[in-house]
Amino acid sequence: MISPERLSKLEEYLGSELGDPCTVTIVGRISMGQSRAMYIADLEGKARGLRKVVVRVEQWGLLGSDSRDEVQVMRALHAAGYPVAGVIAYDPTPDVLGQPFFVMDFVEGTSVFTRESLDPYVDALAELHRIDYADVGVDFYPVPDGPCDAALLQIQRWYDVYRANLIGEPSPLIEEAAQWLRNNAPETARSTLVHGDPGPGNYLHEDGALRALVDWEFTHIGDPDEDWAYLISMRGMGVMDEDAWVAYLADQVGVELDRDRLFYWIAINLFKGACIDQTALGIYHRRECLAPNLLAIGTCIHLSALKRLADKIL
Amino acid sequence: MTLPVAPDVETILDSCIESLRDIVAPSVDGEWPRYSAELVVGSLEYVKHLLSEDLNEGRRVELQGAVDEAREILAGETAPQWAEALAEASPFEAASKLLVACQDIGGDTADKVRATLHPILRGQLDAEFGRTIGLFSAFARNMAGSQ
Repeated sequence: MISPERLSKLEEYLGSELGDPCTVTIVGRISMGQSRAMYIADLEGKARGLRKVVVRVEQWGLLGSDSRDEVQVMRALHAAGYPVAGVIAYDPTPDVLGQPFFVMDFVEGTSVFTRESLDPYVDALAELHRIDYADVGVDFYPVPDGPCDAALLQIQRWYDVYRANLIGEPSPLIEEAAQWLRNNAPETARSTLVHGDPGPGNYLHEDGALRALVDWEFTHIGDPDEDWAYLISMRGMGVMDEDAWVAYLADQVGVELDRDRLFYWIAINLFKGACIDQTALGIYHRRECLAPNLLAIGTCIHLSALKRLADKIL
Repeated sequence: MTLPVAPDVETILDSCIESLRDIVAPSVDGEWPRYSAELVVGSLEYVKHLLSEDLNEGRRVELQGAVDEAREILAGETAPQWAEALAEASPFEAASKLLVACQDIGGDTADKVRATLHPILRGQLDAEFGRTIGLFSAFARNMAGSQ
């Protein structure tokens, strides 16, 4: 939890940022979401009164992303009317909470999956892929240049994260998988905004209506099939099987998925999972944070992704 | 008063696991504390495996054996990637470079090298995953979403 000293610093920081002296009361920590510690808090300003917020705190680089791009894309999409929580304040330094963090509006709703919430969710994901990213001010991500760069950029990004967090020895199966992915990278016809972690658990809904998409730290410019593959094979795996997903997406949002490309993008998502999970073991090993979820991510979750990846392509 | 025979580590760990799993975790109200308690149970179960044998050394020796087999398969091969891989002192570095070379070079020899290394690496992967299944279960339960 956030210590009383840091809570005082947070109050001081938010009072200054918002131009309204305030008190902050932490209500509890949300257990969903591993890359950031997330706290629900009551923010009471002298002038603005009480509002519920979420404080989202980085965790020593866990899962290989930072808040800078996440905040920028959330602000851009929120301003464009897309269902994203509004960001109230962002501190890129460790001065206040020991790690960079941002504060966003609390969005009412649940992340527990219901079938009735799926249609509006996939509609919104398809809409994300149609957004002219430059038009809404998203000009800070690398844009794939060559025909296969959407895949190659992702491989290199996550391979670098894995190598930077190695403990002692490389993983031969990851090294081989990276080379397979490089050698088989497909072309991308149209680069779009890609959420990067879509599916059940990462959107909030209420009474069948979509309230917000959450967890924007993996968002980038890339191949929209990456998102569909992730939805089908990762977060949506328990919802329906791959054939049913392909038929459903064609019917619901008119997305006709090529099965060879889908195979590849599922593989790249598993590779990404195996690589980013390595960060957890690094943080745990260096004793920067000893939370047991890091041990889980760095061992069984990493191994599970690697096992699925090896089964698929090696 | 002395304690001539101390309680054994495994029994103490089992006691901690049972108490946390059956008494503490179910009675915790907060989502994050309950999740943490369940993960600690999985961590302790994993520790039991780590205490029972030197897994790191066992894995290294086993993989070195497979790399040595690959060395015999590659005798007479001229592609520089093979030689570079086999020059590595660490079997994990050697196996990594061998498998990357397999992807780039292809053919029957590459298939034989892969067939030598994969069963060892996949076996180690499966065994380690089995040791962490308690952690995996706790993590998976938490992924179902929150209110």
